[in-house]
Amino acid sequence: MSWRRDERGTALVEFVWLGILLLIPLVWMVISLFEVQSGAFAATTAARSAGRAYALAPTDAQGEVAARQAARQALDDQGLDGVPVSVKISCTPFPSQCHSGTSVITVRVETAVTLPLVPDVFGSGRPRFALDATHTVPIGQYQEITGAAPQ
Amino acid sequence: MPRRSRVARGGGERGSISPLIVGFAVILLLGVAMVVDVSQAFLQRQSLATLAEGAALRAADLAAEGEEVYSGGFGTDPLQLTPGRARAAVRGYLADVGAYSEHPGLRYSVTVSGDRVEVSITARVELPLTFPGTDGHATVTGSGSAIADPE
Repeated sequence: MSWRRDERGTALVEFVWLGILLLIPLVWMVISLFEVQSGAFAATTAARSAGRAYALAPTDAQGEVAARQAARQALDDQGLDGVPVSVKISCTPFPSQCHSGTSVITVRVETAVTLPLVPDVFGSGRPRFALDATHTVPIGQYQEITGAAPQ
Repeated sequence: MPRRSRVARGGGERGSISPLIVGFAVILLLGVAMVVDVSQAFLQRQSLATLAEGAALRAADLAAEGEEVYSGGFGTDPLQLTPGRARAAVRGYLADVGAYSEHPGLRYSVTVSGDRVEVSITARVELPLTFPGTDGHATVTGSGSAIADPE
């Protein structure tokens, strides 16, 4: 009878300790994972949109602007407001004339998501998880040249 | 007799919370591992689909030699495609964009049916978290199709 009385309340103690040691880190891991995952999907979509926007723009300069806007828009749409985003565009075989026929455009979007519930403890900013995605678009060999021949 | 039954009941209740919490944690971890693997496979499939779309675009573009345009002028129909050139274009495109180094074990198939090119790309994905009893790989396929349409 006496040892049985000793066990009263141990379930609560076990629950609290195991909960603190095991479940809280685990739940944090799950939340972080979903955050990183939504970031990864958003980065892929952003690269896709940016590549398409760049390819459809008439010139390289307008394409850069459009690609940046499209990437930012795609990230916003996925709920990643205010994350850093960098869009890098490279082309083969004409690095300076991306919209020439048979050119292949590669757009690389780099971004980062902030991990949740981690405060800025050490003064070096909140911990981030870097993400990137690339998208490749070929440009057609037949190009429309407006005003080239009199009608 | 009443004493024995009381002892047995007390023994059965001992430590009943710890296995429960550990069990929850294990189930949660398995769920996390599955989500990570599935999303990796999904992102790879998206990447292969992007690759296939690019390859199909390039094939439809380069295989449209436009002979009928010289004899009959632009119509509203899609341009005729040369199957041999379409296959060569896909092969060249995949080599140019570095698809083989990015996706080990990549295989592709090109089907030219009429004026449409269909490209299907299959590769093995290494899953980040391996479940016991599996080899940690999955086979993913992405496909895309394109026509050469003079607007």
